[in-house]
Amino acid sequence: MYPGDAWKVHAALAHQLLDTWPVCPKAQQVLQSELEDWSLRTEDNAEKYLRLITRRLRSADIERRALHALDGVQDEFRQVDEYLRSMFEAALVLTRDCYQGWADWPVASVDLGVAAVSNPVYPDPASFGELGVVACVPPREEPEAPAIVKLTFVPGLLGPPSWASVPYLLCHELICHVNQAAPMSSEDPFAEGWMDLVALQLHNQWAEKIFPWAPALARSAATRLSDGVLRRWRGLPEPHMRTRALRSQGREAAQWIQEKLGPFHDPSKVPPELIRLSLQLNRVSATVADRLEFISKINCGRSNPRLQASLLARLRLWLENIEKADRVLSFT
Amino acid sequence: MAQALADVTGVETIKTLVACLGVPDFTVDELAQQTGVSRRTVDTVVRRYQYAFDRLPSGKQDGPGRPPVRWRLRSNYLDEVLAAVDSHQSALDADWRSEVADAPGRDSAEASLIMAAAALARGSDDAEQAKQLVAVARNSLGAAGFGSDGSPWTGQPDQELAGRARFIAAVADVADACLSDDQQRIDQAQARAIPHLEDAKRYMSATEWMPLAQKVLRAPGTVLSAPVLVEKSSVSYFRKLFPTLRAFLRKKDMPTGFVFMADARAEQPASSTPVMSLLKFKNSAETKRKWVDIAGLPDCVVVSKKTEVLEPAAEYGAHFILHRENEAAKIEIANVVNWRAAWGDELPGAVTPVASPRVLRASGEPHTARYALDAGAVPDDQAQMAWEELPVAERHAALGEALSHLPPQGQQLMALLVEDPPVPYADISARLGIPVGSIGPMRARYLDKLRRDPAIAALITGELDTLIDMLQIHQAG
Repeated sequence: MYPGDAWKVHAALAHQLLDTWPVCPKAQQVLQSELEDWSLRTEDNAEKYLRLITRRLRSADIERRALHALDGVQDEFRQVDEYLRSMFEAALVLTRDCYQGWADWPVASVDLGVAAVSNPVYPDPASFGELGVVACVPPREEPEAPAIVKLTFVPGLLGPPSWASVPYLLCHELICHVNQAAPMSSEDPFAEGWMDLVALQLHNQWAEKIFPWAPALARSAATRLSDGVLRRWRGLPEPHMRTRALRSQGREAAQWIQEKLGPFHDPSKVPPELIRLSLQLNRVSATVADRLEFISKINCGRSNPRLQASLLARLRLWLENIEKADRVLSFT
Repeated sequence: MAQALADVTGVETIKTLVACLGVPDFTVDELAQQTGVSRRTVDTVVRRYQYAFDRLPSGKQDGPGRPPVRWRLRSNYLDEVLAAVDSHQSALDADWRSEVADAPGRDSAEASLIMAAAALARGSDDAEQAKQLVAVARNSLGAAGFGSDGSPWTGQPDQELAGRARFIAAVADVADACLSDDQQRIDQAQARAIPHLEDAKRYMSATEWMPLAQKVLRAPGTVLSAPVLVEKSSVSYFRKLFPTLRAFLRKKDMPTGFVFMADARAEQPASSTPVMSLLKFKNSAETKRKWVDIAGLPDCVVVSKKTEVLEPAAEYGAHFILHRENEAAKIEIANVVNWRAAWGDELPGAVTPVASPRVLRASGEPHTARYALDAGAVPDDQAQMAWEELPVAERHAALGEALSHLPPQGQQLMALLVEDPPVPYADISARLGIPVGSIGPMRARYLDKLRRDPAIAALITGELDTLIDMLQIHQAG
């Protein structure tokens, strides 16, 4: 079985089991072992493979609810591409509208790319169902070329939690990267840590629109993935430990700023201050060094009143529309 | 009023002013509660800077009495408030930080140190960005609970974090000094940093430590961090280059015709024994005559203005420096001595396949020391590539290490599978005595083992193709 066929079969199963997944531990167990063995299956036809795996699940005495859910899985298989497309379109429209409302969106067009690989992309000791899909925005060869959000599926890990995390991954790429006015770098704590918090919060607001089939599962999968990735960095091989540690620094800075903006919260304005500020900051033309310095100053400012006072002053002036976000980025 | 203000400490004033900035408006009671500063003190500070606040219309009071006064910081007085915070902070004692902030948690501190190290390792050819990255390192040290000199402000941090912080601070000083182009600053910073190299190795992974060690050792400093043996007739030449070189009497194990010398600027020498021998040859006849005596010495740096001297010296395995300009030679000699002092005969594991720096080839330009595998065979441009291609060498090393962890049969199988032209499965089956049908699953299993090997996991992203490519490159190499 090729990974390019296997992920679709597993996505169809995941989609069909979304509702029953949290309450069917036996189905979870059986599905995990079936998915792990995908590469050993000799079928070269995806529909045949789907029938085989469905038969095996049925014969494994899984919960009745999960059995019933399997009834429509053949139809779901034909819908997988359409589901992905609809998630992507919804996330794109919401992100573009949000940027257009509070910053700008100069991106001409964004396409979705899909790939599959056999082996796990990250070395995490993650639970089954997590990290069955990863995403990135590959660098554009020409500035006029459409941006591409590329989803890469790992069939052996692609359970319902991974399928439900697709909307968050799309939000992360669209909100953090597609429109960022700084060069791409996995060591950018602002894009990967700070903006990830913003992407998570916006995703949680939009979950019903992007993943109407199981928005609550999408929220929990997103939170688990985003927080889990931040927590798991110690002891990972490089460069993962470094990029994760930097990401956690960006997240810490964003959370601290969110706390500092709390007293100024104006409930009449949606989205909240942190999100508005972040969308604008992400559009400030900057180098990775600028962003590293920004995050490091904020984190240092937690124990340095001079830096903290300077940052709070810039935030006040931004809140009062006296200064633009670029002054916040360059506070000293 | 004056007495009341005098009673207020700088820390309390700072806390109050920063808190004023952090809320849209406030009453004295609210601010006192938020900051933990007494009501009387908050009141005194607000009155002291009253010109910077608007008094807002009073709201309704729930209980009896007058409603409390609400204050709001005026936007056009923010700079004055910042200046006041700045001036009070400057007047505080050295340990002010522990009075105004809590120590960071261990995870947060460690992540901050990783960020500091990453910023320094990143570096930049653009001077402005390079300065920013040094600032990132120092800010991150601050966030981790350390001052810019690497000393903790959080009491007693754990030994590992403290060791990493000291080294990172020293590397930041070296990077900063290099940006200044001030030779004395570079020398001082490098001399301070070199003694931390060995200690830091205990607390950092090779991938984190290596780029920082390179920053220190490749800095254009002129301090010799370890003792050297100087050939007697060359002493005056080397003392002219290094006026701080001092001779020491050491009879034991001292080779004839050499003087034990150490740089007085190296306060903590990286080694107690000589790490290199320094010789200056006038002509090639001298090379042949003297070489018999110097065989068996620690590695040599031979300096000569005549290129014909260098070829025979290289054949004997000497490092050599073609001396065209004093300043350049000085930096290059210091570089090679410091590399050797830091790493001995072998470079750290991650770069072992590049081999120890056998030959130092000088281009005659300052700050361009390059190392290559073989003096005679490697032209200048290739010698320059040797270090630039380090990641490939790292990959080779990691792959070599990971392959050695496979059982012998696995190693043989992987070697046969990446041969070019491809070896047919029937041949592999015959050579290794395994059924053809088992080759595929075994290959998958061994590739998986390789991929999960800690030595290699850092270098690949899990793609099978990447690993196979690496295996082929390794095999070809």
